Amino acid sequence: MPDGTAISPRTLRRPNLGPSFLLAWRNLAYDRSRFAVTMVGIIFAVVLTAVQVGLFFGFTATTTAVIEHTRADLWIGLTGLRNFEIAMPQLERHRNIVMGVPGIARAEALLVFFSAWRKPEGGNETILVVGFDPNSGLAGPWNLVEGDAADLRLPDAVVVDDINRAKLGVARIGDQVEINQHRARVVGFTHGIRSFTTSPYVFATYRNAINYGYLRDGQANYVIAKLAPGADPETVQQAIRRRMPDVEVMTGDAFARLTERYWMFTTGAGTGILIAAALGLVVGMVIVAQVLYATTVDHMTEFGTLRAMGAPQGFILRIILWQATISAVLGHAIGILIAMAIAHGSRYGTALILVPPGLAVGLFGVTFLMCASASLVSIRKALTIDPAMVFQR
Amino acid sequence: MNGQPAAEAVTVEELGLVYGAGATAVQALTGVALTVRRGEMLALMGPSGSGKTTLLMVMGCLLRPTAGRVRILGRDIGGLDQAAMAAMRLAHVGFVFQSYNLFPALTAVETIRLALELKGWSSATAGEEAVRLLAEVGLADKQHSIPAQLSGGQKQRVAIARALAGAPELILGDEPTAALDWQTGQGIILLLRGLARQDRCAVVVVTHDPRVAELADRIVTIDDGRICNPERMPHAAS
Repeated sequence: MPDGTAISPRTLRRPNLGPSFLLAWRNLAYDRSRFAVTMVGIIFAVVLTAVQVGLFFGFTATTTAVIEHTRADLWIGLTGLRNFEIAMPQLERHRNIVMGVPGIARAEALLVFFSAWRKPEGGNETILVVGFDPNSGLAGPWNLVEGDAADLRLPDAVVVDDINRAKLGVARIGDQVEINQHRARVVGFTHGIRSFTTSPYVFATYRNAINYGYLRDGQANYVIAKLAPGADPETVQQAIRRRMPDVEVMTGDAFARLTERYWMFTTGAGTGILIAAALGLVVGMVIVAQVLYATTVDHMTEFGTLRAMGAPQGFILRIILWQATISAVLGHAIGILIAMAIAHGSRYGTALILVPPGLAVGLFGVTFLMCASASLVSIRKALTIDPAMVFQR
Repeated sequence: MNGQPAAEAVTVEELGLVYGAGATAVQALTGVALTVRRGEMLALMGPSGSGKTTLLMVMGCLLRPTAGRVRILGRDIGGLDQAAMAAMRLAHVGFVFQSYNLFPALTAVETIRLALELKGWSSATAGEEAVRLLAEVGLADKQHSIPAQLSGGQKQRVAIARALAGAPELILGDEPTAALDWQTGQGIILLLRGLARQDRCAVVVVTHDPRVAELADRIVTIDDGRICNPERMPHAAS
């Protein structure tokens, strides 16, 4: 520096991220106990949030499972319809009216009603009977893991889900029970068909379901319809509404969303789950904020030394953000693996937890934001540090 | 001194510094005039609270004077903002602290490499230079030791190597031997003095210890914010 007034270009060149990352990583790894506490906080937040959101997804999928697996283009129910499970019975002639609408290829009755299941060893359980026409293939059980679907045509035959074996008191094909004081026999087991209402689905042919419900032939909670090739769904819906002003007509997708909204938000069940997820995030953030703050305070002399050496504020900022990023990446990776393991285990439980890749990726963004937000207080403290403090110790 | 004409590294003229304002204001320095040349080692002595560390901080671009002028390598620091002061420190000043102020999680070589990379050195060249500097302070075999694995003297040598990173023209030491036994402290001061002469940098050391001060090229004593003996020479500055 000949004249002592200039600063060399080498000095002014922005330092790369290397040293700030190194210092951040070493600061975290040096105090393993504290790092473990940080990790626990983040992992706790990630697992809690992932499981809660996964439960939300699982419940959402559960509420619409039967609708999604029914190959009907249109669902017709009485006005005031709000969800799949609770639907008033319609007039017998509704199916025939629908059949007469141009653009309809097929229409059939679907029964959905709560009933009483008497276990072979005694005791009752509330069930949700789904009575369908086995000839069309529009509706019915899926994912049959034991038994033959054709056996459902036998008198008194029912199919239940193997998740509910214990709940329904049945262990194997051939077990006999009573539905609404009417004899029923298990002819097959599905896997993974859960009910949001906690009343297990029991699938039966329309004919058998009529008997279980002591209903009149032709009675139905829904008329489900298949459109003729090339028919416009909107035009057909309008035609049905014109002929039957007291019904609601909607596509399967619209009905699924309606049911979803009802169970997840109108009842508050989904809101509760999402609030629990948000609380998980908040609690995790508080833990992480405290630990990151304590870590920053612990290293305040080092930050002061760096500032005294002439390190720009941005360098200190990068160290703290790297600390937050490293914590977020590791915490998220471990947390999401645990959440996925829990989700995997839920396949055999009554509450389904879904952790799709999109949730894992989205949660990383949330985790990073949580860690970055948690480090804001630390950043403020570190950036306002007086470099002269290192001479005053 | 080696007989060459010594350039002025620091020039202080009628320096005054007041901490605080109003009724709580404290006059820390008054009318201080001082010159530190490259290649020399100057010891600042004085009782506690006399203002010697404050003077060191002003010379280190950590405090701005409230009166007078301070020129570091010819540049008046009075008008510099915080960012420019930080840039001056980064480019031209090395610090050695009483408590070493090393980073507990970094090895010796990483500590020095960090200082160099802060100054814009590439990782590769910074690594080579860090190894060279550690060898220069006699710690070639301690490159991969963290501070907890080093003795007090070794820590201070790492701190000196860090202060030397990037060849600053001014090295400031705040009681660099206070935490060390006399023999180790003497070795540290002789190392600093040797570096001043070899690297043609100016070294200013604040100390309470007269034995340390006697090893410097010049001794300046401060009392109550004023310089008492601007030209006192040590008895045996060999």
